[in-house]
Amino acid sequence: MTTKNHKYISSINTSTPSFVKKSFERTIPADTRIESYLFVINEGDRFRWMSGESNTHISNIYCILENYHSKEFLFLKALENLIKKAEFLQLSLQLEQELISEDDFFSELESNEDKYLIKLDENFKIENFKVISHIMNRLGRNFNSDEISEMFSIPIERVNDYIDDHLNKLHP
Amino acid sequence: MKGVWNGSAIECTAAEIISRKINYSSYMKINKIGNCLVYKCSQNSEATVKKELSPKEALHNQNSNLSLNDKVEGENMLVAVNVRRQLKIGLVNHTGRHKAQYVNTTDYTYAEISRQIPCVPLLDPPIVFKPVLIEE
Repeated sequence: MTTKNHKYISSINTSTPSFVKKSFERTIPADTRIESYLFVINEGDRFRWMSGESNTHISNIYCILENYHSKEFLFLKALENLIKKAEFLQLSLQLEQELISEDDFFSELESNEDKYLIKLDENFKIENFKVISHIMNRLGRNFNSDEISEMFSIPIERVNDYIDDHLNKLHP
Repeated sequence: MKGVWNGSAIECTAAEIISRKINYSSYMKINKIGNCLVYKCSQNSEATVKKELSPKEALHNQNSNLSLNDKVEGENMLVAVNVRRQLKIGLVNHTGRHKAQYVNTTDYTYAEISRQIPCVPLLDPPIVFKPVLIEE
């Protein structure tokens, strides 16, 4: 690490996380301007962006990317839940047609609970409803709040609250 | 007591559910109740308490009706039953010559109106879902 580079690092805003600084020390070539850094941290359903001063003018691009990432997360969640529904129906059908015994059915449910059980996400962020309404609009049919709830693993009261808030904003 | 508005709910140990159409929806984990089968009832649905909870305290929604013969009646209804095996749904002559589907539950049952009958005026202020808090 050259002294010139050290000078740059010391001039980084104090709000820059320590791991960003460490990464500079390890990986950035000596002739690179360190103001042009961009870090993206994947936190489940969203990205966290950290960018240097010279990158702020492209912040709109980050928003677009973030929307796509949230959408992909929700698509995957919906697919996962639909597969779980289908798997449970298949298992129930096998029981109804007496292809498996009741003991087999219950032991299968207990041993592979994650394969069949839809769990609601209590930490669901209200901002994601905008993305969900965009998805719903593109599907071109009406959905009940309980359908949205089980499709995206959202507690049903949150869906109802959001719809009520939205209606109040539209018709105060 | 009879609830006919959006959000009206019952909770009980045994219930009678009658609707024009009862459809299985999903196998879902619900707070404080456990793993439940969720059914959706559409087109003129009703649910009646046949056996009260013991102790008589709501487990999911603080605004639920809990007394014997309490009833909810709406257009669409969401029903969660604490069972793992699919319930047997039968046919019954309900109103006049109209046939309906019915199911009798013998485990914990939660039924909530998701869409009230269109001719019933909306309640002001509406019934708000008030979750039973889980003790840490």
